[in-house]
Amino acid sequence: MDDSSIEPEAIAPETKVPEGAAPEAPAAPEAPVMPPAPEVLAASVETPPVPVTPGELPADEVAHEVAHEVAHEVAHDPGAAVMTPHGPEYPRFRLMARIEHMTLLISFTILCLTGLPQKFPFSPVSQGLIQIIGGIEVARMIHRWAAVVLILGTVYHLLTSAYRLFVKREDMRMLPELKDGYDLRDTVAYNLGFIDEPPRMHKFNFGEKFEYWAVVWGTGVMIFTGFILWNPLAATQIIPGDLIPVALEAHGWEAVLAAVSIVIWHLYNVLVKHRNVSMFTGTLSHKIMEEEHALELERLEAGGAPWKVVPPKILARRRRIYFAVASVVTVLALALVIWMFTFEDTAIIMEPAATRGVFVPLATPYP
Amino acid sequence: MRQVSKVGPRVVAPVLIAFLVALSFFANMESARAEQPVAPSGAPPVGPITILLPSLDQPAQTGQPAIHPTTDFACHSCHSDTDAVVEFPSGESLPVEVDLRSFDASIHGADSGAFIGCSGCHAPARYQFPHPSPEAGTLREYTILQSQSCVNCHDPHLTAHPGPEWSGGYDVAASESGLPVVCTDCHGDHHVQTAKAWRLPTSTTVCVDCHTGAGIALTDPGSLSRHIEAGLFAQKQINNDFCMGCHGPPNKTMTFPNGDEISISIDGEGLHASVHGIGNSWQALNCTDCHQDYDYPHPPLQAETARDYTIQQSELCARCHEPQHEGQMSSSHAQALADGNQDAATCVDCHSSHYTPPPSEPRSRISETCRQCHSAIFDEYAESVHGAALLGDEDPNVPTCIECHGVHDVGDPTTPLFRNRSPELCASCHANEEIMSQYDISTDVFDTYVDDFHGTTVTIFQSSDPNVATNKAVCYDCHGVHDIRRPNDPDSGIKENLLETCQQCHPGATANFSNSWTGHHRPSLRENPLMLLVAIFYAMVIPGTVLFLTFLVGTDVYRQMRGR
Repeated sequence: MDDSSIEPEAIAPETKVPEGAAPEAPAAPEAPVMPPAPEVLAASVETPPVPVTPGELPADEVAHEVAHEVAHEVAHDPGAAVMTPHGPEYPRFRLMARIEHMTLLISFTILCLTGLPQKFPFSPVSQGLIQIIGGIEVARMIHRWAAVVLILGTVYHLLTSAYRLFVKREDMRMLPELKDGYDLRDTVAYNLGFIDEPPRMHKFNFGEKFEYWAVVWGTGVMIFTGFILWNPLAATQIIPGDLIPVALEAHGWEAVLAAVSIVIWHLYNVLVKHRNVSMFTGTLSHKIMEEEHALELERLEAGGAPWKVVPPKILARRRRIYFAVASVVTVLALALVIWMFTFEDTAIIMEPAATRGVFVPLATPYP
Repeated sequence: MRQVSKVGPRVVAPVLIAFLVALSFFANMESARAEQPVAPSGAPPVGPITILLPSLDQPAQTGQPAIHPTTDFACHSCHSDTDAVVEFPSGESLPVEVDLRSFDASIHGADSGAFIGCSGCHAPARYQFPHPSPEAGTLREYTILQSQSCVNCHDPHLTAHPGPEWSGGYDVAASESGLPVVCTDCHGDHHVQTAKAWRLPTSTTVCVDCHTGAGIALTDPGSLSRHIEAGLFAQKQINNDFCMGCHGPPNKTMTFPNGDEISISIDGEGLHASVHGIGNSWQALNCTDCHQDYDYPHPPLQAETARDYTIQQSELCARCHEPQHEGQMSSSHAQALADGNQDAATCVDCHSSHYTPPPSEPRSRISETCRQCHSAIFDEYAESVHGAALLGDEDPNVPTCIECHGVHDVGDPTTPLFRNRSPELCASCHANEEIMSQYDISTDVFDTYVDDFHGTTVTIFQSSDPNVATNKAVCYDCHGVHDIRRPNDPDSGIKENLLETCQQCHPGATANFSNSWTGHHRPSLRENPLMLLVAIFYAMVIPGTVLFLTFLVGTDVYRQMRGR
């Protein structure tokens, strides 16, 4: 999802806050994008002349740098259709998006496998699963490590989002809009045969946006409630104790919600409906592009750049600031995670059993 | 027989004159011999013989009063009268006096290892007071009659001796020689001597005296001692009376090689009142039902100590109580014993040996039994809500020790297995509506526990790793092990003390933390409404999401089926 096309007007990032960043997160669990919605951004076509802040560089210099940047991007990620034996493949996900998806895929799966059996401990499936994993305590440790991976993936997503938003100043194409509602309506109508043409959608269609925001919501709930459950002593320094069972309730049911959503919606779309592996290859076939992201396809075929291009000199300046801030944030985030993992250990230690004098015979026997 | 008394000055009560039957012969037979009873058969008179053999077994009389059963003293209160005699129809008479000192010095006496009281020979049934009339017409008949009580314990070894057929009673007429010889003729009566004394060369004087007096040749005096060695007590009619002859009198003891001394006296009344006694549904047990293959003289002890002996003897119970024995063998008591802990309980430690009471009557007896060894834990239990109800009210529902720990197969309660299973143990009563409704106690406690983090974990442990210890709380971590109190009891670990209870496992817990416990309440508007709201939220969102997504997928499948 981190593919934002070049956005001429992107110079107003503050208005769309963390949104632009957000699209990256879904890469993982719930909302892996399968049907790329081509965002026929006006921007796409206007590739070359970047919206450099006025007065930053002379026009010709800008043009030169833009060309350089485009070449750079294309070298790393397909910027335009690549011909393969099966037909043209269109750029869909940059490397960082695929990393985020893979991180989420792995951590989410492990979290489900180690977490859901705790939600349904009486089920034979749960008990068998726990047996295979090596016992509940082992499962819990794995669950926590997987949670750390998920949290790190979330941090990574926020960092890359900040890069896209503040360095590349890309559009936030993951934001829901009114058109998504119409697309949903038209998709259903088309599927049921009420209309003859499917809706033409941008790079991220309504289904992908739903998944992305579901992941944002779900990850937020799970990290928040998970921290409470992981560190109940620390949590109750701040929040009322009554919230701990609430957190447990929410954590368990949110997991169920996430799991069923992924199985029904995501797995259907990427495995059953199509075999869409764009999250691994980074590219998507013409057929699927046409079906699910017609507007994005149109934009790319018209020569639009898959992602916004920023003149190198401007990019370099923004990057310096970005990496300075990002490294601090990264260190803080890592410290936070380590702190979470080691905050308290009462939930892990074993209390010694109380001992009692067992053999204390009576001096006077019972009659 | 008419009793005649030459009432001495000490005999004040008329009832004491009623000597219907003398105990036997008297220590001083001189007067009786003077009477020279005549054998009914008309055979040459054979006078009772006073055996003057040296006593080898007993130390010299110390003058210390011997310990007799009280019944003996009752007998002796009359039979110490030196003046009273019994008169027979034949005109003969017999002094009633028994010299206790002489008796105590005998092999049957209090100074010996085989002490039997008066009733050991003079069986109580026949010697109720007032005594019935003896069936003897003459003193000699009486002597012969009394001799038969010896056969209760002793083999009539002198079957070669002309005269008696012991099995059917003494029939003088049937004897070949017509010379009846009965036990007391040779052995004496109250002052009977040991077999060892008979092995002395001088013992033959007893035979010689008699045979010379009757003019009958002695054939093989040497064979006598062989008869004796063959077994003084070879008589196999072993019955309770036989055993009680020795084990009836009180205060009899035996000593083990290590110096332990235990009582071997059996209280017949107590035995009869026990579950094995006259009320036993199978049959009233005899001594030999448990002590099978037991001969007299008893074989040497195998046990070094009294405790060894108890442990050995406990095996006897298994003959009839096999299932219980098997259970016991798998118990932690048996394990401890196998590991060398001699204090570990065996059958008789809980049930006692000879005076076994019905083990669960009253029900509190169960816990009282365990208390014998586990008194400290009992004291905790007695203060608990369960213990108070049992000990105070004989409540039929509260658990005694065995409801939780098992009866004979008492397991080790410190194992992870016991811990992991303990919630279900508590739930066996506390999830039972029938029982709990009597006490107005919620039966939700188990389900709400399992729903909680602790309970979920323990449940998983029980199913997946029952033998791995979990540190998650089980019922007794909060409610107490033996000292379980009502949750609203100020002394319980709940309510006011909940934080302290939490801190046992969560040392850093604050007051907020203990509020996280839902108190076994299901979420409701009253108890933790937020939890209820979350549950309701997901109860709507999850089905809603599933329906919505399934609908979308369904339309897409429909589209593909139509080939579009």
